[in-house]
Amino acid sequence: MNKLFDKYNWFWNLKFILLLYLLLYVLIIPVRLIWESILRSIIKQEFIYERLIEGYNQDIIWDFFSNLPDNISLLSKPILILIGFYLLSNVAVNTTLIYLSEQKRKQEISSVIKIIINNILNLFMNSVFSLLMLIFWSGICLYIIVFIFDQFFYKLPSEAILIQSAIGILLIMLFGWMVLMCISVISKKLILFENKPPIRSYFYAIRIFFLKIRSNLIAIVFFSVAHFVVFYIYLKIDKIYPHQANLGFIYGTAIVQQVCTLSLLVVRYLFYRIIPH
Amino acid sequence: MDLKLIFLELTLFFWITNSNCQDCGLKQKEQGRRYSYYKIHTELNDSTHVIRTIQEIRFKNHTDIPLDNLYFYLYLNSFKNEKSSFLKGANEIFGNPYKDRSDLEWSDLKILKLSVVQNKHSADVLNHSQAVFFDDGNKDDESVLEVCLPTLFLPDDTIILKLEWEARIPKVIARAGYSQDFYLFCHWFPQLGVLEKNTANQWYWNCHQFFRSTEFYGEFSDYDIWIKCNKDFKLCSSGEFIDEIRVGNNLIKHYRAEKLIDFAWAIHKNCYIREWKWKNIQIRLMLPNDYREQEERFVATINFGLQYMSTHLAYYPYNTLSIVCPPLHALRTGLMEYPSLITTGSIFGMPSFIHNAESLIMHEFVHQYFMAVLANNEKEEPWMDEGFATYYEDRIIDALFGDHQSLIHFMGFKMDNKQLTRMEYTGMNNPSEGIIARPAWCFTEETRKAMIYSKTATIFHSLERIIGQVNMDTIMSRYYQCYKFTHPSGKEFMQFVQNQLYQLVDSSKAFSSYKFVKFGIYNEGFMDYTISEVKDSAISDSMHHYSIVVQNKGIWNYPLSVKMIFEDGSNAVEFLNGNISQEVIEVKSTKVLTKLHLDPEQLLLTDLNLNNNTYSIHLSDYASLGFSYKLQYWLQNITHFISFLI
Ligand SMILES: [Zn+2]
Repeated sequence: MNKLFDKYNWFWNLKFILLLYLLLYVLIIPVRLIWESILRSIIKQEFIYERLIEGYNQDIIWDFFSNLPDNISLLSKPILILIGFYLLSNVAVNTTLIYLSEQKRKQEISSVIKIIINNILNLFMNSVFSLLMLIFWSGICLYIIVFIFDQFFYKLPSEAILIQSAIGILLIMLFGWMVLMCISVISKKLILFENKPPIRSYFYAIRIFFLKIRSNLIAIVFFSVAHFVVFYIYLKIDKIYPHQANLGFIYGTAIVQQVCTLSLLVVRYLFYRIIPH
Repeated sequence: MDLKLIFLELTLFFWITNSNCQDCGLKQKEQGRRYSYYKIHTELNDSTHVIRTIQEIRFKNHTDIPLDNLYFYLYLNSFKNEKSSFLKGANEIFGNPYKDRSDLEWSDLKILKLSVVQNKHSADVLNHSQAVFFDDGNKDDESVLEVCLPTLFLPDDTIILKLEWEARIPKVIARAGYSQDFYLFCHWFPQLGVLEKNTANQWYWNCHQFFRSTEFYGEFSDYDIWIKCNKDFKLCSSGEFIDEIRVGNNLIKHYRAEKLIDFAWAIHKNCYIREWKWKNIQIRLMLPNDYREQEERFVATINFGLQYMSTHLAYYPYNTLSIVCPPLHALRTGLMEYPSLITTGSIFGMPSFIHNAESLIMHEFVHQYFMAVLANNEKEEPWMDEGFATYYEDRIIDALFGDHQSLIHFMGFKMDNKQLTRMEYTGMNNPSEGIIARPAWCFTEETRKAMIYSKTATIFHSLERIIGQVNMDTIMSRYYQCYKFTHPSGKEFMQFVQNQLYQLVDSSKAFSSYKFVKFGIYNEGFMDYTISEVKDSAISDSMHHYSIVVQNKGIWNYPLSVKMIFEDGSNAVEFLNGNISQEVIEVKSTKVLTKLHLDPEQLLLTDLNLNNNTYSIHLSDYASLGFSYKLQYWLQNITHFISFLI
């Protein structure tokens, strides 16, 4: 925990985070613009937005989706490619944040990029492995749920125990995700700072996670609480913001959304700082 | 409107109001009729799942012709094997596979004795009985039994039928059956079909075979039923509890019921019964032990439903109401309606912000008025029952939990019962697929609910908006009072509605609203009104000439209004006939037109797309901009989490 408050150049790191955020934002703009033009071509001259602002009405949403023209999709191939690229960039930004979280001095952008590029293959393999572990873990949990329902549903007098077990398993699964998340971060730190190979680093990371479990649990709690706070504030602001069909309102909402996105990026960074390696 | 048309409408009006009164009077005379009486002693052996029954039926020939045969429903035979008309060709029933079962889990109904007492002479007719399969010619279906009588059964005579039979109850596939320690008995005893006149005014037995998509049609009868089963079972049934005696480990309970088209009962061990009274009505709720935390929700919903229907349609028709909530493993017995007994369904821990269980109870409860009391033919005209049950279910749930949020209301996410009903119809792949007024067996599994339940209900929600709720309630409660206990047909209902409309609203509205309902039920075709174009050929700087093009993409129509909103905030309304595929409204105005709204009060919920009823002259980018920012934010959050995890 002390690491979080170590003396280091906060300001400079925040500037770097802002830069990374802008990079990501620039990458998402094309997706949004395409969506905007598609929506414009569908909505044409209807004034559904104004009516939605007057009061929630699910007829409007359903009629919108059930009358989408056949040749138009909000997830067409080019959009999916753009989203895929955006996701990969997000992973790369993540790794950069992990690197930055361990730096106490100002870093040259070019040197940071160089280090990331030098390790890109290892980091990528590590991410793929992390993803596989995540799928494996989720698969086990979901399989257990399906299995107990399949085996016992018609044999037990009540479904209560099955539902309680399923909820318990889902909570364990979520907690497992957070543990895997920490392990993935630790293993990336091991790759970046100790030149460990991508897969083996993952198994070292598992050991480290349990050796330094206190710090890791603190990181998990921080992660959960911070996300909850950001979303809670977003929902509150979204509610109290004057609902009108005007550009001020739309851009105002967009700014609130982006402030939240940026805050989550800062939360990520702080989370990485707490996690030891 | 020209004079000829007015004259025609006036004649029609007087003819209709006159004939209506006569019809209603005739119908009311029929309301007390009961032609059959069932006395049944049944005993359940829980270890073999077999019921052994002694049954007596008294039946009066109420026709004016002699009869030489009788027809019986044998529902349990639908689950004798995979070849029955109910199961044939289906790997799943209601989404559940059923074939993986041992021989002892299929039903097996054996009639051991069947004799008839006619003019004090008793004759064995077991050998004169046989399964008949007129509906589909399936020789393996035994769900209808014909019994030939040894001598002619004359008008006004009464015969007594004596039966002894035993039946192995199936492990539940649909409705009747058992699952662990829960049993549901519906259509479980040999029951007479309905002896009525066909469209050619000839007497015949209306006794269709059972199919997957059909429900039930029975005659009003009286019952005395004795049920013997292990004392550990709790029991809920149709009718009124009379008394009970204990015999060893068993209890024999006696129930009596009048004017019911079926007698259903359910038993369960791992459950409890909550009893209470609403006014003079004795209510029994059977809930699995683990659903205790939902008990008050059930009670409040049932009380609300009773009050709502009493205010808007009629007082609840029986002295008792039993609500059976089967355990989840027995859900295939749930979500059905029987006279004075309904089965519902829930799940352990059902969150209180999801009102699905409440919605289902109300649907089955409303059936009491339609399936049980009006008792139209659910097999031939299912829309008259399911459509109305859905219509009132929507109304009750919306009244109980609020418009736009009645089904789900959680952290800003809302879903509405009535709007979900509308969407089930408008979201169909082909909303003009066939007509509503068809027998149940003509529908596919995919279209059955959307057409029979949802389209019908949406039509009646629209009619309610067109003529007002008070008038709607008047029509429906008069229909109920006039036709209760008489099996009204769709034709009778439509004629009645037409009469009432001419009595309650002005004749042009009566004419068009009746046409609207009739088209919706008896024709294919949809409606989708839209404003396709607005042209301004300015006459001068201060004078505009707007040509507004209104289109109906379908062929189902209704006169509708267009609200025009001007730059200064003022508005004006124009009316359209709505009966041609394209109409142009010419408007001259000194004010600048900014927006148009077709059917602004949204009377026509049957319109497939309500969004294209709105038109903004100046293209506004708010919607595309606002929605695209929202989508962008979701994408950012989703990728944020994914990249986090790996
Ligand atoms: Zn129903």
